[in-house]
Amino acid sequence: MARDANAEADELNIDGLRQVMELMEKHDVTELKLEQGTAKYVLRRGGHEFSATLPAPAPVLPAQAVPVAPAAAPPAASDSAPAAAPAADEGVVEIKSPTVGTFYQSPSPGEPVFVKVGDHVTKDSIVCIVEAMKVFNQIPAEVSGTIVKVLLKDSDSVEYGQPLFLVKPD
Amino acid sequence: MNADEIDCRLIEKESWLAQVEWLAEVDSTNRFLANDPLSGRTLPALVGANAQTAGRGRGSNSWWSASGSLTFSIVFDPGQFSIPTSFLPRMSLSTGMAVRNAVARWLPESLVQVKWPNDVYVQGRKIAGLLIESHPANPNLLIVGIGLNVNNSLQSAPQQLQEKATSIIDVSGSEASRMDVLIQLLQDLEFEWKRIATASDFLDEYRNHCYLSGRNILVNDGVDEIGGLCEGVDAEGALLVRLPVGVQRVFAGTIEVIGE
Repeated sequence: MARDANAEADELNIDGLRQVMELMEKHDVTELKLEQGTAKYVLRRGGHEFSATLPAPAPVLPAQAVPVAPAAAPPAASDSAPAAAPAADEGVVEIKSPTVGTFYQSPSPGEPVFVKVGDHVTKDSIVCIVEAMKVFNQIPAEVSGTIVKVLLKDSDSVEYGQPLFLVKPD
Repeated sequence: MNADEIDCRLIEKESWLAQVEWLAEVDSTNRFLANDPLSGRTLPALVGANAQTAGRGRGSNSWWSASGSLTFSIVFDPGQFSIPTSFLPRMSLSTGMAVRNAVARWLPESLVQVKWPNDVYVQGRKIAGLLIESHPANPNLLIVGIGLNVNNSLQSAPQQLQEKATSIIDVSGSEASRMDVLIQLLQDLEFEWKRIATASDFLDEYRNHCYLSGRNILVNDGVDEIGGLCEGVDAEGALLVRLPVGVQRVFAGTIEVIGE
């Protein structure tokens, strides 16, 4: 976290964070989001994850699979945060939503999901539907590989360019 | 030619469609095209049916179709109308507007409204509905399914349905030629789709005919339900609902008008 001294003066220092984390442990709190000044903190216990992000302009991204920066930030802090990355995530790509809307994993309610973790997809494989204003947009993988992670739950809202799946390319 | 007769070759001649097929009966014209590999079909293509046994709407909603209605689906490449993928939500609204404008040529203009995102309503009753999907075999292609009540009077329908739906003949009192309505509707679709990416005043036109504006509504997205006063649509076409905590933007869900 390289910041100038003036900014840091307004924000939580390491001692402060340590105190908060001790309190979280004492009261068995697993996740805490803090905002102070321009800084946002997400504290999470269990996975020993810790990250901090600064406000960044919302990215508007093209609708296709693009290589992911090897960042392992938790979802709540995924805007920027050049955090250190586990080597395992290298080479994983995201399937992004081409449109704003609602995420559906299966063609209709009660039907099997299009893809699950471990499934192999090709460029033309349909991975989900994003509905916006009654347009049911079937999203192709645009990449050949194996589904590593489903980033959303059924009926979650999605924004333009939001990552939907992580895929390990062939 | 009677009011319900459909001449496929004449539609091909009078419209921008390359191929038109009309079936006596099918489960759903959208499903028919979704299951069609399209190898033998010249696009843009239309498939219609005199009767749909399982016409579909959003989720598990169904479309009641009876003799005299227009139920059809069009499969086409949105690139033909220079519609970028990011404009697909807008396309939902503009398709509803096109159907609304076509219906308004047969009925008193001020009575015909569009219920967000794209149902067409007359005097609080549904007269047309649509469903837009991408083609499973080629997601670059869209299937637009439209159901419009023309000469199918709802007077013989169950009471519960009569309160919710209407048709051109029920409002105007006279039959309309299904061919004329269909050809007009295709022209209105072409007009709206061609101007999607460029028409800056489209949303103002939409707002002028917005059925939900100023009404109390319930929005159900399949998980949560919110209720509040509808404040119209924003610049992206999202529905605005006033809640105690502020205005919520809605991009999907079924909308019910309450207290009427």
